[in-house]
Amino acid sequence: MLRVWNLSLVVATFCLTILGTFLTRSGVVNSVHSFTQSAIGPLLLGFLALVGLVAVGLIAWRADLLRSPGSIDSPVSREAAFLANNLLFGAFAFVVLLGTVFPLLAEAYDGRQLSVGEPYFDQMTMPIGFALLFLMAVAPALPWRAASIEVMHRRLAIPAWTAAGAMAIATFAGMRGIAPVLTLGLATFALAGIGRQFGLAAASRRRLKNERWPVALTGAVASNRRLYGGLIVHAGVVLVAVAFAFSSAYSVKREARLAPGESTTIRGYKVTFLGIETATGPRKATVSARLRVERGGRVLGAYGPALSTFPGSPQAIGTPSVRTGLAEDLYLTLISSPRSPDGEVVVGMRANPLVVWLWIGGAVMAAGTVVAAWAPLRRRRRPTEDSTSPPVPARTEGAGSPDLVIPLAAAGGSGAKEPG
Amino acid sequence: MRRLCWLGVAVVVASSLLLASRNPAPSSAAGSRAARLTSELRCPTCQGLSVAASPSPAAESIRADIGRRIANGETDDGIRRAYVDRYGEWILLRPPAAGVGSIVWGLPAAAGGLAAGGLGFALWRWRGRIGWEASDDDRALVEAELARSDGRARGDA
Repeated sequence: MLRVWNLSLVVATFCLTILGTFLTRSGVVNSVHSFTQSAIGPLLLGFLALVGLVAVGLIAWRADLLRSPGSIDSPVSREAAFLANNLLFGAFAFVVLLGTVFPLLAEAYDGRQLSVGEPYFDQMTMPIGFALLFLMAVAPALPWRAASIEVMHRRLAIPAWTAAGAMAIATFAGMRGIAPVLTLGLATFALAGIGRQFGLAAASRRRLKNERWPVALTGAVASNRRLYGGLIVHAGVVLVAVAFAFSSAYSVKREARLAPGESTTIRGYKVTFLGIETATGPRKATVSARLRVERGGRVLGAYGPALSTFPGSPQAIGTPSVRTGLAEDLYLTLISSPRSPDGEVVVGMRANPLVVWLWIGGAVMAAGTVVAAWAPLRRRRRPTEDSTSPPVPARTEGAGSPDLVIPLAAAGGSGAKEPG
Repeated sequence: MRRLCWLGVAVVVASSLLLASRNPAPSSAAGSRAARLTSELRCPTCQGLSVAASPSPAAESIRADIGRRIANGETDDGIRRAYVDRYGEWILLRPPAAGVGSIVWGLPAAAGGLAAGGLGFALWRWRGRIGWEASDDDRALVEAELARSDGRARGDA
């Protein structure tokens, strides 16, 4: 299923990374990574053309062999969800590509200089992100080939109510902003769906084998690593999405001019400037501000954002100091250093909620990938072959109800989540 | 009952979003306006950074100027216009939706509409080909497999 699609996406991904490298390294796009003096630009462009032509030619030549016999039977099926997923990711890539090359095209067209930056990308990609989150919540609950309303109701009602409840509680607790509240709702929808699948699989195994919960859960995951690895990856993506939405919507930022001993506050943190430290070496001179951070009367530590100047460079390079916490990160930067040892400094402060969850989400995604990749290679069974049976999913309502098992058994496959 | 369940979800979600959109934090406050405007303007001396993100002296002076303009009661559009007059449209990180700039806004919307329409049309056409019904052989195969897996599970236990 969707093999031509998948291969085309793989090729497009590789070509776009080469294009991105060409755009930045060749100096066509203003970037700190550009090597405008080197001859690498034409080489990269030639390589990109070669890769693109060969890949497109190969796919066109062999497309008939890649095309799978089945088709998408129903718009409410997992196959259709994969197709919609491909289109959404394609749209995401298109927006990024267009926004990146548009200033070049506009200038080539009529000489006008335009910029396309973060506000454009945020506005254009946010709806796509919401659609992807929604799809991530619904798609794993969709059976292959076709779903009935009854099945969808049974699988999605509890996750949907959990999501609605989370949104209601959050807004009654004072959370504001459509984007973060909607992200929270969709994330809860997806996580509740994932939790339901794990719970049902473990409960079924527990019933059958009389195992304890942790053993049953591990056994259920081991029985279909591709499926559960994929769901773990989904959970990681959800964490990243929530962290992204919350850190964008609820970060606060301010600057303060402080004399030694003076304090300022930002979202409950009290930041006190203790003094400066200087270090002068042959390669650079560094001035760092010693800052004490407290919260609720408890000292959280001393931090030292710095500014370094290098010989021959007029602009100082800042080195921020970051306090990382599970709920929030506090970024401290030294914006201007004092003219005298006991002079004033300008300190930049930024409190960003949930940033560390971007990393935790990434780690969860990596863990899910390991679980899925660990799966033994499945041998495709021919219908006439009758040796060992393919791994049949556990008899849970979520993973192995008859409406799911019939198409799987008919296809001679397992319950693994496999788009190819 | 099923319909009532989903109607309930829709009502709770819509009410939450309505509540979330009301009084959207202090967006009209001066600090928030300044943060939004500085994130929409490009630092004139940096490589692709916004005024909000740049530590350069030029960005610092623009931040101070925007703070002054907000305190003087200038509107967001007025402040943007003042910077476009001084630096050109290049200063806006959100390209104008007029002239050649309309392409960068309109093209993804048009492509998205086409893709959604194409997907809908394709699924509608394929839908006509369903005719898929599990045969008795299919059901027997599934029953056999399930019985076998049950047997294996009991054997394991």
